Amino acid sequence: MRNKIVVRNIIVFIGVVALCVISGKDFLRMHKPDPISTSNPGISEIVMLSEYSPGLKGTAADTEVYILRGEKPGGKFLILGGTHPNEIAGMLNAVCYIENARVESGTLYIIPRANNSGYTHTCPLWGMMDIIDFQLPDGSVREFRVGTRLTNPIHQWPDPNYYYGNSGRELKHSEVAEIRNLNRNYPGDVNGTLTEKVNYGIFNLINTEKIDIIYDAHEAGPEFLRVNYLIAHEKAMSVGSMAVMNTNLQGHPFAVDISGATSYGLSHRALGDNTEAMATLFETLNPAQGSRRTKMSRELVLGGFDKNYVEITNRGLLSSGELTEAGISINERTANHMVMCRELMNAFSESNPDRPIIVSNMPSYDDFINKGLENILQPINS
Amino acid sequence: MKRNKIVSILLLVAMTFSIVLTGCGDKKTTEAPTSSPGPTTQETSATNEQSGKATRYTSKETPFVTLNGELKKYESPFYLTSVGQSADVSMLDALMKKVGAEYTYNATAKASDLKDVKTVIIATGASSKGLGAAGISAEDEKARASELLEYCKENDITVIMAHLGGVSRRGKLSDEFADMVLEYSSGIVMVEDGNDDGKFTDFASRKNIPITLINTIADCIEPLKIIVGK
Repeated sequence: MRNKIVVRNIIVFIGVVALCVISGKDFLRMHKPDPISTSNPGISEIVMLSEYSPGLKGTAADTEVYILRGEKPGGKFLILGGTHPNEIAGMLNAVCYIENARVESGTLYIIPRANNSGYTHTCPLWGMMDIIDFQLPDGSVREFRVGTRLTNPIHQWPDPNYYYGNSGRELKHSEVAEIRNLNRNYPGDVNGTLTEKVNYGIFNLINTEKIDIIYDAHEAGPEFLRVNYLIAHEKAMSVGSMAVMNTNLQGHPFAVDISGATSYGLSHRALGDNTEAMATLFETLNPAQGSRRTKMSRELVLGGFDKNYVEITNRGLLSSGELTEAGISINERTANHMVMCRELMNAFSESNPDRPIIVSNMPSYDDFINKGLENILQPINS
Repeated sequence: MKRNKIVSILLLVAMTFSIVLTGCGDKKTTEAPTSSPGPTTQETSATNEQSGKATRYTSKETPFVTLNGELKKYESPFYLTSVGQSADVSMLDALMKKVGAEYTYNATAKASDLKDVKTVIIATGASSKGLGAAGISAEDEKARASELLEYCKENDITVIMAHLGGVSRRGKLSDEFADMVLEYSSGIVMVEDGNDDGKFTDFASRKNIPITLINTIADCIEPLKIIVGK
């Protein structure tokens, strides 16, 4: 009888260990960075954000800054992707610029994974996808982690019961997890939490490199009232409105709104207030982020189709983020970010003809739609 | 002992069932919780009240239409300002630049700024963010607008109301600002989405002033060219 119990316990123990190993493999994969192709001769330099925020050195939140310098001087444009890692079109836009753009005049600074720690986990109980992939024409597969919108608690813990940092945002009760939200804690703190050190790194980079325009790429669920909106700090309203107008003339019905004066800690407010740069943020529509979506699937994340939101749209219940049967694919969402970036550069150049930002070799909107990201992303250098 | 075994087996079955349930779907997916946090649907009333929709005049093929008269060139110098501080004034500024208009722009212009001006184009639409950024309250804005509009009336300055924000610039406060400007307007230019209930076409009809309805904001270029004579 006793032997039977011992054998049973051993079997259970082995089973538990096997489950841990199998699931642990998935968790560990989330800590492995997705490579970005550096074959683009337009890349001048890759530095780490810890050069601007020393406390990040050696931490999971340190992240690459890709610099693409033009032959001629001009304005300086910062593209932020992955502020919220699960808003994947923003990161993919940044990667597309890194892997394809040639800068003729001015400089691009690109941070594709602004919250690098956020890529190492997904949000428990949200039913999120962890990895997306694209098969390239050469047969290779590019994988990208999806991650979630907050810094991983294993990298920044515990969340305080109450927090009032230099962003001016008061965090209490259920809001305290926002202390790990990169887009709530600008301008950051060189000696603050891990997230605040990232915030500070970006803030310090903007000041040190004298960035002219900041583009913070986001996505939002259909219920969000500012889907396909460029949110601009008052200093960026003129250039932002010109850019949005040009996108409309090209058939992209985007809109512009001014940054709220009390949007404490958000990039478009806090970086606009605390630096000389024109701060903007753009939101594309991602049905996978909506709280009324159907089951998570590849079709939802990459195809951007969700029958619930088509039904909600057809019933006239959405005043923003309407979704049709065609869905809104990752190609289209990434293209929307690319177009918005491009038009901001054009509008800046029009307003500052002595310091233009001229970028070539980027695929067109139609290329994104017709050829797809699998033909725009580059194979990883061996 | 036997009862303990039955309970253990039942627990094991329940746990397995729960794992299967949460693990179902695609290889890397799980079901979304119904209580997962996220934004809520807001401001749906405008799209729910479509039973009283006004006649639609514009379309892709007919990008703009003028009712109650003809769209004409107005007298320069032009001045562009806002009543309500929405971002639409900034979009109108971009449009005016696009058509090469010569004008002065100040979203918070005062009556004293309008000396020698012949035509004021006023972008209406309330934005709490815009008011906040300008550091003024809605009441301050109404007082400024009232003073500005009275000055226009006393000095024969033509007022053109521009409503470019569509349904998102309809609502109590936006309509209050629009109503203030309408009373002084000699013409209306608007994106037709904002006239779903016929408010602006009805007003133009009653006052017999021209109203130019525009299909989308991108279709404003041609009407603006006519207004500023470009």
